[in-house]
Amino acid sequence: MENSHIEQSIQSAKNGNELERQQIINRNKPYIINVVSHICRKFISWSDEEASIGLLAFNHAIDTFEASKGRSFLSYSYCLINRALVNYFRKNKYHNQNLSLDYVFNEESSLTGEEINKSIQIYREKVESSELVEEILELDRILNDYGIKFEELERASPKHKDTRELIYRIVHKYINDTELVQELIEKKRFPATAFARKTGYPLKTIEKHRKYLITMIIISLHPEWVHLSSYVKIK
Amino acid sequence: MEEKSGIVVKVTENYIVLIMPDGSFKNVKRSKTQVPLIGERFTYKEERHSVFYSRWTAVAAVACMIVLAVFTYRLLMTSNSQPAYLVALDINPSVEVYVDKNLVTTNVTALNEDGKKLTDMAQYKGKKLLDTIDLIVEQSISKGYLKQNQKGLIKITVIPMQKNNSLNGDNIKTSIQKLLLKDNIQAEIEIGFDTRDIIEEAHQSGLSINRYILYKSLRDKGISITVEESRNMPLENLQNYEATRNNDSNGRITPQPNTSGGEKSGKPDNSGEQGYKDGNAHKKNQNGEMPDKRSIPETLKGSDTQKSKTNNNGETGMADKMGTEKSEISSSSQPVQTNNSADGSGKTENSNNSISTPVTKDIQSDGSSDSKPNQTNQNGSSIESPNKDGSQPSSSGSTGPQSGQGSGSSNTGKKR
Repeated sequence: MENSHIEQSIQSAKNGNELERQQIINRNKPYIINVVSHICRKFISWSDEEASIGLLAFNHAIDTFEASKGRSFLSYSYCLINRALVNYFRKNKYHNQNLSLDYVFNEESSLTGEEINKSIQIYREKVESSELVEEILELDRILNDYGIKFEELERASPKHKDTRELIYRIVHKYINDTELVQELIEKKRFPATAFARKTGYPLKTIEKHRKYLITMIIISLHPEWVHLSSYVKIK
Repeated sequence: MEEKSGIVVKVTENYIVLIMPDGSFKNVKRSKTQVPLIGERFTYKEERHSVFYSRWTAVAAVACMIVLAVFTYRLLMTSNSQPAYLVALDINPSVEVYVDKNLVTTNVTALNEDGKKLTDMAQYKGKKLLDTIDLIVEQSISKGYLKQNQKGLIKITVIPMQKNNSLNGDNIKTSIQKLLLKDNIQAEIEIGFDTRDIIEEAHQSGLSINRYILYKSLRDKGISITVEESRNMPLENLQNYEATRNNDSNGRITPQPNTSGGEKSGKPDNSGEQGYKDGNAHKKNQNGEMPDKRSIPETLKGSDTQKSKTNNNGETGMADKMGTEKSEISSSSQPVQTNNSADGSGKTENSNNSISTPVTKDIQSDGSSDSKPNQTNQNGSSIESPNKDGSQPSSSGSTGPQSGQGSGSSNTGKKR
């Protein structure tokens, strides 16, 4: 369902819907920068030239993606970004022995099926599944609305088994209360005090793990994220 | 170090953010060339210092440790520098050796000139107690305080300054004995233990601890001896003080217990006056009788201590009457003195007093019923008797015990 949704939006972007295209790019920006960094084997920020090359390649992927060929859009865009960057390295005599320079392509020439399959295979070997990547990107996007970054979650994560189980109980309690869920989604905030008063869970624990709780609640509210949900052992 | 793996959700400039199988998130330090893809499984090695969740807790912990270290260091230093034992050593040089709980010498102080000669010579600090004592004994031998042809005396008192008391005196003794044997020197080694209180008492009196202990025991036995005397007298003499006196005045001591008993029970009032009169009469007689045989140096020596004694007696809170009596004594005896000897005032006083001692003897021989008068007389006589003892134990030894009784009682009275 989600896949078809993505395909639809890509199709719509392909057909000239600039807003849709912009949305797809925005949504996948973390992915693009991650792929670019991965290929360059160094951290790339948006101010780097490699990032804009990756962005252009991604944009190109939107134009050339064909859902019917049975591959995910993310692996396809990875493939294109990889190619674009390799070309860029060649042009600039960018020497990095660790780079895979297997592919020689002309920028204008279209990819052969073999090349694409090979690249996608490499990608698949690395990544557990492209659905998981999409889930993560989606979660990242939603958390962004709550002002939560992934790197902040370590601090809010429970360190002990007891706390973790307590948090699972709290999450379970929370998602079964539609009023609370409504408030969380609409106001983008966790009503810690009210919740603590209502349920009797220690406010201190809730406050300490607030961001983690929100993350877990959001994952729980998206059962369609099959892979991510396996990380939340609620119930 | 434990290998853990999670799924990469984000790569930042410094960290790789993972979601772990248990649902928690983990930031792993990223090496420069390490950029995993989002969704990639990433394995890392769990590091121990993950206890420090933030830099500040780490900084605080380090600060705490530094503070703690400083404190414990201070604590250790102070406990070390605080002596665990005081070993007071008297040969003739009087030395106090302070050692810490590891029996390492922390300080050595000399209490007299002879001691200073020793402590100036050697650096004892940091040496083991036994080595220090050995050194001191060696020095005493080389300086001639302990001689081959003369039986010496080494007195040692160990005083635990803290609650512990595990110092073994035998070790010290055997160690010294070895040394003495080597040089073929005969000396008696006495090792005793005492409590902390003695240090202050001894230091206040200006005596070395061993001397003070001897002094105190002598006083407790009722033997009159002054601080001055016990300071200047050779240690052996002080040690054997009682014995020599006992030998000299065997016969005369025996009545003493009676008189002392009388002192305690008897009221001073009438009998005292009477006795005093008697005593006075005797004195006068004695004064008349007593020739100038008494050696002058003897009397000279006693003069100042004697004064102090009289003062003591006045202070000791004898009944007021007694006080007046005493003053009478002095006043009455004074003229006699002047009559007796016109040589010098110091001498006269002494001679006067010395004269009085026979009086007491007479009284005692008269009968033990008049206990008080005896005492009053003794008070008069006790003043100078120790002086005589110090200089001429044999001649005046007889008076000593008696007078000692008086002064001893006054001493105890003073304490109260």
